[in-house]
Amino acid sequence: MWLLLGILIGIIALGLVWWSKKSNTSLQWYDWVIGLAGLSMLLFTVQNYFASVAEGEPKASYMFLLVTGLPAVILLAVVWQLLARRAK
Amino acid sequence: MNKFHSIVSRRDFMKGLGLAGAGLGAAAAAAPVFHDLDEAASAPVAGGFRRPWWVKEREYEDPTCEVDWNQIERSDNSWTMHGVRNGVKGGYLFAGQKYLDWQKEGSDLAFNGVKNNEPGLTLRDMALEGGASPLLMGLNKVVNFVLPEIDQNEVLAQFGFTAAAWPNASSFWVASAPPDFWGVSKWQGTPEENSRMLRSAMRFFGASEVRFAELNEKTKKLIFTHHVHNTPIVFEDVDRAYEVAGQKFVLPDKPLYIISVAIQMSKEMYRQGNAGIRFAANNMRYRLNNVVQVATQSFLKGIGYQGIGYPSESLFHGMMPSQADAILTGFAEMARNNNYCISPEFGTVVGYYSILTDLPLAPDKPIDAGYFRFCHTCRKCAEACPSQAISFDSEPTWEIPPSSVDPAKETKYSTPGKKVFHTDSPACYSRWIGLHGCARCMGTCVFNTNMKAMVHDVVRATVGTTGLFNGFLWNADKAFGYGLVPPEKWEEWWDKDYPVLGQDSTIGSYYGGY
Repeated sequence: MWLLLGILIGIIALGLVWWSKKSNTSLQWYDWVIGLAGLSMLLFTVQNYFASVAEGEPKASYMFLLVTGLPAVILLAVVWQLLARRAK
Repeated sequence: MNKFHSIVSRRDFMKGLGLAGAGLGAAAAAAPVFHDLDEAASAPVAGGFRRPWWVKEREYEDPTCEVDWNQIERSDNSWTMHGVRNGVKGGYLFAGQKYLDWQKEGSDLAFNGVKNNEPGLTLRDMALEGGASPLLMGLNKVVNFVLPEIDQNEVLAQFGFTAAAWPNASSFWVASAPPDFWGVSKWQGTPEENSRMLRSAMRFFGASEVRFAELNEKTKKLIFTHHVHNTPIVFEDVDRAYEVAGQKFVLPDKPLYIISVAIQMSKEMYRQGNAGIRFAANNMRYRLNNVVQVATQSFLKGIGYQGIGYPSESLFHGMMPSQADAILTGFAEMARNNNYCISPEFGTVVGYYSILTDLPLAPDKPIDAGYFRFCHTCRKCAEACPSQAISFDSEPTWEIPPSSVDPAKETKYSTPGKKVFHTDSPACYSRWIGLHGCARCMGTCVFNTNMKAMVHDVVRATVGTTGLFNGFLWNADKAFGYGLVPPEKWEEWWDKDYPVLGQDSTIGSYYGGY
């Protein structure tokens, strides 16, 4: 799973760079900071969610979705909006 | 036509491709598809394994090697190579003469190997081989304070052997033979080499891990004055330990070393807190330790040393408080409940035992992983205790408070000299018995989690680095639902596929890709 996830993230990162060049949109340093923070939290959530299910800890697994998963999605959404609005 | 080198035509290739595609499609259609984890967990299993789709089941009594049930008849097992006919092993083979020749060949190989220190046949290799076997005598005959002298002929007769006919047979079917049996001197190694060797042997015998300490002037004070049945434990100026049944256990007054042994228990079973399934996990560690103890004693005998273990008088109790040497050897740190301790690898749910030996060993140091500091803040175990036997204090104390069960009585059940959170042992014992083996404190502890989720490593690293987040982490543990399992879920244990013995034997294994 982690191999596939790594490949997917690599493709998305390459696509992002390709898109920014094509649309002549510059990526700011804080885009990277917020994006990487969001991505790290998302990966942390994915690992802990599935591992908690395997551990037989259902409440913990849902709490990870809420406590780290939701902020991760919000941070990634912020980056997406920053880029989308800058590109207009 | 040459079957090993053929030219495939384009038509055949395309046909093959089509067949392969159809096969893949059929396999995909036939493969089990699970919509959620519950469905996957309840899927039919073959022999307990959840096998991949490419392992297919056949009809009953029809394995892949063909069987003609018309030809099959009941057979006589004494005609097989291990069979004994007319009192002779290998009776099939010309009244055993051929067998005896092979036995001599095997014995010569072993004796020469030990004498010449050949790989696989060194003294310690043979001691390992013998150490793995002595339980063939039956636990009740061999598990004791010191390894009993065993009648080799009695055991060998079970297998149709005699010691005279197969000289080295007793070295691996009875117990490890001592060095003089092989005509060599005892094993000599540095304390570091000995520790390394003993760890490998004892993990193989079933110990989850071992660590070592020296029995010096300080740690000698940990040896009980009396065993649990009130039998005195004394030091005498002798070379070997011995027991006078019911009167005394004698330890040799010479350099000795402590082997601290950890035996993992099932974390899941402990999360039930009390009753039969929880108690089963506790009981099993004693059975496992019996095996580890006698195998270790046998191994030590095989390399020319002695192992001093738990006596048959009570196989539950040794010569010293095993938790003390678990802490001193760095297995674990003291917990808020001073009746157990917390290990970075095993958490709370692990049993410790002590074996003494005269094999020089390199001592291990105590550790600081932040656990005892964490226990200053966390009171999860104290809140779960049904008899309120665990202290709620913020700081540990030197003084032992009186028991709530009988405040006027002297606290002889505990010993001064340690600054801990003193648990009210009589109160604890009342619920240990009254609730059929209560261990809710160990089951609910923040550190009795499984370790697959990476958050546990993050928490442990944080706890080991700073105490600033201890309160937050204790509350987070509760919010995330870790801890005891409610009674209505206890019987679900029967339908889960937990590891063998409820243990993760890969902990501490850094080689082999397990």
